Amino acid sequence: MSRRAVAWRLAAALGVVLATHAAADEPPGSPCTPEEIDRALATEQARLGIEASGSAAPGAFARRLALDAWGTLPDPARLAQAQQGVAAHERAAWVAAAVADPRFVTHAAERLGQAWWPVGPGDDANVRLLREDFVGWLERELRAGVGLDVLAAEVLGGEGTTDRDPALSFLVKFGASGAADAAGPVTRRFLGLSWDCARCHDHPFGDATQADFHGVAAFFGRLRVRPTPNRPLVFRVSEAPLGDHRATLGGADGAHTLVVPAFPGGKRLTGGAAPQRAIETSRRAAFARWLTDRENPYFAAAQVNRVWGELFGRPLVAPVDELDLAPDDAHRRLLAQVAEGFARSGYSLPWLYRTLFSTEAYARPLLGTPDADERARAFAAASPRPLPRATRARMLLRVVGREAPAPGEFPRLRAALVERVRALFAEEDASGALLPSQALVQLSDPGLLALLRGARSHYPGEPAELLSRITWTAFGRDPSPAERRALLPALRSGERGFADVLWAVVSSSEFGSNH
Amino acid sequence: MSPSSAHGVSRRAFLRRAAALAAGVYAFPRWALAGADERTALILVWLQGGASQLETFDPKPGTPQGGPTRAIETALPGVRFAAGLPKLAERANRLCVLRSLSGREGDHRRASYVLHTGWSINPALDYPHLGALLDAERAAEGLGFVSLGSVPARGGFRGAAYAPLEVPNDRPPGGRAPDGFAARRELLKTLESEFSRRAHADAEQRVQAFTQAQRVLEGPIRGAWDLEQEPQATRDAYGASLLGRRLLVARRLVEAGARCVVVESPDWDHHEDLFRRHASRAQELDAGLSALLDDLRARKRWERTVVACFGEFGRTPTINPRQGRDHYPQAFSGLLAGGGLRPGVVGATGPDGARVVERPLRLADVHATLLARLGVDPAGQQLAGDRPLDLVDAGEPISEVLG
Repeated sequence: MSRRAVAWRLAAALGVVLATHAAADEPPGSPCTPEEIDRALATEQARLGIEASGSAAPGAFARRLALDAWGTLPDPARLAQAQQGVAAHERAAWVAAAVADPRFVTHAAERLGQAWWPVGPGDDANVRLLREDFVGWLERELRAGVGLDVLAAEVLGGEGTTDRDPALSFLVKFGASGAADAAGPVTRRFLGLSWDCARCHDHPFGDATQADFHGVAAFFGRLRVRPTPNRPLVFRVSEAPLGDHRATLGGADGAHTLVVPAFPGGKRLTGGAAPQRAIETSRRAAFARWLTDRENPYFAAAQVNRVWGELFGRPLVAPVDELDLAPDDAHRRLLAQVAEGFARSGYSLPWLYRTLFSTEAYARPLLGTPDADERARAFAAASPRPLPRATRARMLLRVVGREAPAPGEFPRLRAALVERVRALFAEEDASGALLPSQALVQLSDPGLLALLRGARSHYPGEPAELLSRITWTAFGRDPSPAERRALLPALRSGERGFADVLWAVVSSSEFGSNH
Repeated sequence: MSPSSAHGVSRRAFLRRAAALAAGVYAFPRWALAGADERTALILVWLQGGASQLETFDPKPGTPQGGPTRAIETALPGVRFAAGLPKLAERANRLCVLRSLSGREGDHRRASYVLHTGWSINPALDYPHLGALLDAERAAEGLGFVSLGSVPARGGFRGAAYAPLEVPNDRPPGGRAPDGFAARRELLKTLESEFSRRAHADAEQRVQAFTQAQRVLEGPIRGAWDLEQEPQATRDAYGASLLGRRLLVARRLVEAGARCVVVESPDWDHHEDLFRRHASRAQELDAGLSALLDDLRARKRWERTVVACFGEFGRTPTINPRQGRDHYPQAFSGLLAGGGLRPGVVGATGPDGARVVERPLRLADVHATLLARLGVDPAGQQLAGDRPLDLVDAGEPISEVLG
């Protein structure tokens, strides 16, 4: 770990101590508890004349929680509990267990990695390897209890080589081709600001100007990324003592000018209050300090909004990367409140997930009524949310009894199986709709059909029991009468019918949604 | 999403067709009277990354902005192309050369979205790709929209039913058509119907997508990738490059029934070392696109296929210190051909290429032109949910090319 990273951690630890101390002086119920979130949502729902719609069935809640916390279906023991019914207060124990489980950190790192460094369609094998190292680093750090502020600072402000500090791989990918190339991803993913268009002209309907964009870019003007001799895929990330960012401001007629680093919105904030001297030594470090300053209105809000969108199917403030354009409404204020709590927690992801999992809003059921969407927008009902590709792949492996490696299974064969299953879900519309290309693969992939046929031994019992086992495993519920009427004859018809039923189950909208 | 828009025919189009049927005559819009045909296909060649107009269709040799790029005469008197496009220059009298395009978006994602949808990104509304819009408005049956490579927009608010079949590589999509699909589809229908009841979700979309996929697996679309069916001379003419192969597949797809094929040609984003990197890309474009133009004529599909070739923006007239050109939406070029369009040059830039000085055009005008030629009234409207919206963002058909 670099000296700078150690310094950040010390500073962050001190910040948590101070925040904890400050929190102790606050009145009870101050931001931000699950109850507080529910109260804020209820007030807004009352204003809109919308009634909240109770709680989801235990099986639905267990499934939702496992999918969101671990990225896979609930364990059989939990499903058995759910089948027996469960009191609402027991949900708290389920939430605590979900966040304490080691799978939680693995999944949270996967989701954070996707948010900060999304997989790109054109990524080559080298980029994929760098990204894997980056996500692995996120997982190790989260497991060690490191907050997101420290992680972000290390990603953007660090120096060293990528083999010792995989956090730096981010800048290899997004900063190596120039300062202006770094500014877009940094503002979007760390601050929730979509300023890419301001690279060439002022934002068409926001306040961001070309000068704002290039002012952020200038923090990365001295970034140097170099391959290391004789060490493939190892890069050195450093800060040059000199060098400035230049850009053509004001359109084609504008001058190609030197741009001075400027914090977004021109705000210096307390953590960046001595930027000039810091800028002279490490501009990126100065930017990282500003980014993670408690007074920064965007960093914590952007991270909370992303996680909220992940769990609730829609962010509190949409879209997630235009926080600067959001109106000052009740949801925007609630976002600020939760973001404040998140910052007080030491930017702790477990705190954030645990808090949101514990709200009544998270436990709302789906609705089949015409006003379902309106109620879901107010978080008075759940929104069906399409699940990420990796989650879908794990679910499919669970349903066919292959989630854990078989005894003696070669790791390479295992990896090939996982990759092939992931490819089945490669193309999914943001709405969860099935795209033609994916439908073709799911319909005709011989590997999928073989997996489905091979799953028969994992589902003992006569057809009615078998069907119940399948629907509880895949959906967390009993089959409906209509499903019994349609699916039981197929199950009675033999192996082919079993594979057909399982294909329909894993191809269904419900299987691909978190409800 | 209202049922009307979700199932392929906008309320307006439905009413128009219904009225036409009642009258015994189809109520063609005025543009259709000029020769538009709903069966006309579109091949959109996307020079992804933004090709330099100064190294393709609007060279400025002998100026500081022109760089080392030479210009050559073309079959259109007085019109010169960059020297890297000799075959297209020979065929320029079949091309509509648009030299006065301009836009506001200089970011790849945003500009690509405009190129493919005709609209700027709107956080509140996901517009459909032009191919999806064509399918929806023309009430296509089966899969009409195929993308060879990626696209920045899909079905948008018209629904995933109009999303393209996206094929990222050279292999035919999917495998062998499975046996017993009908039985599986019935089981899936039951599950979708039950989920729809509980979650107010679309019960049809997945079933339709799989039904359509089964049709693709059983029909002629997959055969389009079998280039061994083409004579060696034809394959040689298109070239062995990715773009050449994709263009040949596109022609075969159109013949197999596709109505809009997007051909993505990657790697035109030359911020550095442009003059070396551009040369190989131009060679591939020159060979492939020329072969396509010849092939469509030889196979009597010239009048029924519109070919469009655009990047999402152009590149700066100023050459940067890294011998590259950066993004430049203020003035750039594109091509249209076939489909009964009238060849010629439309618009012009100034001597330094920095500004449009004659007949300013927007990509929305190109969209309006394409819709008009492809049998859709560009002045029409569509439904986003219950909200009526124009088909085109204030674009006007380019009268010079429509004839």
